[in-house]
Amino acid sequence: MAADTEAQHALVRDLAGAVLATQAPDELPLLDLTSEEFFADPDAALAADRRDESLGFGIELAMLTPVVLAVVTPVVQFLVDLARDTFTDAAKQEVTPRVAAWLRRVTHRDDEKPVGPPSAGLTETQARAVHDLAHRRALDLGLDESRAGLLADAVVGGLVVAR
Amino acid sequence: MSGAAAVADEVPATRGPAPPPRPAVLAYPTPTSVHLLVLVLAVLAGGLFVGAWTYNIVAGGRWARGVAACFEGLPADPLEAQSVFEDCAAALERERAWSAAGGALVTLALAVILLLVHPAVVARRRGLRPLPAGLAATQERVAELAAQGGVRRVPTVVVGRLSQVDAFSYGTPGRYRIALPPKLAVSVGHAALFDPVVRHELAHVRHRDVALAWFARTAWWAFWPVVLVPAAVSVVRGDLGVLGPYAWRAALVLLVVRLVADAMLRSREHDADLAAASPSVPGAGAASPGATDDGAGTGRDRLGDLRAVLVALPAARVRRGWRRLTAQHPTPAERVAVLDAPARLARSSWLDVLTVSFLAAASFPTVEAVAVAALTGTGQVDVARTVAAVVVGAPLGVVLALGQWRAALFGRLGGPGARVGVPALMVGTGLALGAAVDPQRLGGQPLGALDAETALLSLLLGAGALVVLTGLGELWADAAVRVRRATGHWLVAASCGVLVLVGATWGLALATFAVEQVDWPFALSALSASGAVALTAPCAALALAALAALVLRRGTSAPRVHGGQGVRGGQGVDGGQGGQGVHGVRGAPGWALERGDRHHVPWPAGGPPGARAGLLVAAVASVAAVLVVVIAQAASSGDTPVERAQAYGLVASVAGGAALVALAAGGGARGAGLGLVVAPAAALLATGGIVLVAPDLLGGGNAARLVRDAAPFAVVLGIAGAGLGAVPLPRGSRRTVALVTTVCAAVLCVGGATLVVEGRSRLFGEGLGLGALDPAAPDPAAPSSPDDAAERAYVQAAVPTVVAAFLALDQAVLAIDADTTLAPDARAARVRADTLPAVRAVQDAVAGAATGTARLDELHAHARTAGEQLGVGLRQYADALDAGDAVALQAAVGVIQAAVAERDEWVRQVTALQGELATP
Repeated sequence: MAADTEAQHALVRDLAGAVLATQAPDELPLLDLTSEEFFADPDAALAADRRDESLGFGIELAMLTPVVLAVVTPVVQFLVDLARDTFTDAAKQEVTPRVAAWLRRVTHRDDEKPVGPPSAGLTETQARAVHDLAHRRALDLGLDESRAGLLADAVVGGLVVAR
Repeated sequence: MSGAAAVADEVPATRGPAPPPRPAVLAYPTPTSVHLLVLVLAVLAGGLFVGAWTYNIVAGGRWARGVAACFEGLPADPLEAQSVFEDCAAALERERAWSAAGGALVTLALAVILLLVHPAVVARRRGLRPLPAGLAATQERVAELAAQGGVRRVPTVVVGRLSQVDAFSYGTPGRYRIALPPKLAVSVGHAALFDPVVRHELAHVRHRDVALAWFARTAWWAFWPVVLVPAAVSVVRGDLGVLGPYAWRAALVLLVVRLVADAMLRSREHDADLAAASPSVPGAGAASPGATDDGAGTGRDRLGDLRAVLVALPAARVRRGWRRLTAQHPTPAERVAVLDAPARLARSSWLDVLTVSFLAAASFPTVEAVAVAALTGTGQVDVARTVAAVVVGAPLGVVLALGQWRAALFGRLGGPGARVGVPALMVGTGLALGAAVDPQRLGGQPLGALDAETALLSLLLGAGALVVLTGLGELWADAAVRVRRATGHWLVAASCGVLVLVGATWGLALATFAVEQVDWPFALSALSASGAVALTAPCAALALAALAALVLRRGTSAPRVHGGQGVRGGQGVDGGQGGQGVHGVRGAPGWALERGDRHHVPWPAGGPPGARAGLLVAAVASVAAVLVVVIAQAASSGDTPVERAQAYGLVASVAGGAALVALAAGGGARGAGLGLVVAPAAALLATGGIVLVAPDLLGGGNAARLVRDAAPFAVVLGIAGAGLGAVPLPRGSRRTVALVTTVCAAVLCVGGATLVVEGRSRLFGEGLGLGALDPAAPDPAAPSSPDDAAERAYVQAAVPTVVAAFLALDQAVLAIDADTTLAPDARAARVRADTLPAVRAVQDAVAGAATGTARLDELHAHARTAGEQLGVGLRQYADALDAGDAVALQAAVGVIQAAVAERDEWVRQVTALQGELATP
């Protein structure tokens, strides 16, 4: 299970990286550090400490990374569930190599030849579901409509969608 | 930044046209640097008190027995007795002083330990980490900005957790850190955002704010456990009587210390903003006009970038209502307003003045008490008050001077100028409230030591000191164009502040003590006599400072530009010279501006009154004084020459005091500043005239004493009335001001001098008779006609009543003396409860007795004096027991012994009278 968690975290990080590349590329150098912090305590990572800092500036500068990670996490879970449903090993409730390979392809991480029958990626319906999920999650996290839409677009943009 | 660019309050979103050269407010030290000193002093004074208090609890009984034993076998000569007593009690007093010092050292040590430990605690609690290798550019850019900002040792940059959204600085000297929020750490490419925020933090480092702010904070934290010690011990011992009085005092001091620290931090945020926006480093030479440097040749506008960031700060974080008092930052609107008009910063708030004055006054009694204990046995106990005045008054004076002088100076460059009314009231109020929490009087005055006399003296001297200090600041602001460097100007400011406030706190302490222990006339005598010794040099120095400003400011009026030619700045042109008809000087002093063409920035001239008005006032006041003396001489009924001589001496001081008060009333603060040189001049002129018209009284040594005493006391009297300069009266033209001040001086001098001459018997003829030139001289005017019937009635009716009252008092005293188990505070309570009512009965019996002959008057005066002195002495005795003050205890015993001598003399004379009446 720990390995599954690690694998999922890696997928989340990778997909988040793809989103940040378009939305906040300057935050990429800290992705490894910030994703570690996020996975250790997601709620704390999302909460902004707005204390009146002595000898501070008074500014509020929050990273986009934890929001992206928080949005991408259920998306990855959705994709994992989708993959399990797609392949006959779903009953094993684990990310089998076939599932992992499919996920890598879908998330643009695949440098190897595909395992099993070739798959072109998410269908449009699936992509739309991902978009809606990401959008809802972004709204739940307090982003406004416009920012939530952009983020959801970027999430889908980070995935392979069949044409 | 989070959310949209929310604009706080009425912050304008766009800038106006290009501003004129900006005032270099940071060239003048901010008074907040010295606020910290006052804050730490208050905390350490608290430690002193707790240390002394602890000694009283642990070793109080042994101390009381030891001091009591020192009273035995004292020689008859008072001076020798004092010396022997002090030598005897010195060891015990030094123990107490060391205990007090121990309390302060423990507090200081705790604060230093917390200061050293805090970086590790902050780093751990906030999850701060070194910058990852991928952000090397961030550290490099910080190093570049540090070099531009004059920060020699580049702080280490660390990055916080995701939850950190603001940057802040922390660390110890030499090992400072700047903690960046992750978003800012990765935003080095966004110079418009990164640079202003980092420059702001670097400014905190450069201004030593990190050390000051964290030391203020750790001192406050360290104060808590120290403050709780007496409360805890009281609870354990079941001694709950002092718990209430102590608790509210401690809570008030803690609250004020916190308010001072927070206000200091808010003020320094403005300083950091101005430094971040400035194109040049103060003291490193002015940047070339139009510099928009950032070292990389990008031509970025530092001011514009910072302003844009401030405008977009979220309004939601602004605290409202009373919570503003504990905010660490000013509001965004306030920050932008100061950035746009830096001269606005150059004015202290009323809360700053009030709290700093309060802390200084609250610290004074403890510092003085410890100084007394430490100096016992050295023969220098009388220096204790001066020590306390220097320790407490000096930092207070520097804070007030820097604040008022900076405001006056930059008021010439568009700032609001120095306020007088509210700050003067706040100084007086702060001093009065601080005296009210006197921890030395927990037992005697549980609700606070404030009484009408203390409040009045605090208001008069505090307000007057602030007004004369502001006046000096106005004079020196006029003269600023001739001062080459900012350092020279503010050093004069700090020095004048020290002189004025050390003198004022010293005078306030002496006058308060004298009024409480005896009466107002004694206070006047004490101030006159002691002031001549202690205040001559400070008054002379202040007069020289005022005179120097008057000389320097000659010809410094605003320039008039002729024929399109500018006025040469910097070196200046002497007034009246120049073929182009340029009158006077010149532009603003170079060190008062950040950059730009300072040659064309006019320096407004100062207003009235001027030197001529001062000379006129001095002349009129001295002539008025001499005239009063001439009339008094002519009307003299041949009463004691001693009283008249002393009165005439005081008249000379009144002339000087009246001159200063008149200048303040007519000319405001500037007039009061001028009065510092006019008052001594008027007093000396009056002295010379009075010596000429009364040579029989004031020849020889008396004249020399008069010359020595008149000027310093004139300045003290003047400062006591200079608060009038704070009243916002319409003052009119130069001529009007001169006329008004001259008339005021004449009226005040005539009125004051007449009061002194007419009331000389009350001032110098009764009471303890201190200050008399020849106390052994018989009073030739005393009545001496006997009346047998009146004397018999006195002996048969009045004497038994008075004797019975004295006997009742003796019994009360004997009962207390017989109980050797009483602790000092319990003994003090018994004295108050049992003997003071008996003393009142004595006084009532004495007052109710009829005399009717001159002989009976003289005889009965001994009983009256005995009753008065017993009341004073027994109250002093109880207070000294509560405070554990051996020297005060000895003084009280001396007063009681003098009272007993008076009573014995009355008894002797009554016995002789009875014998005469019994003889056929």
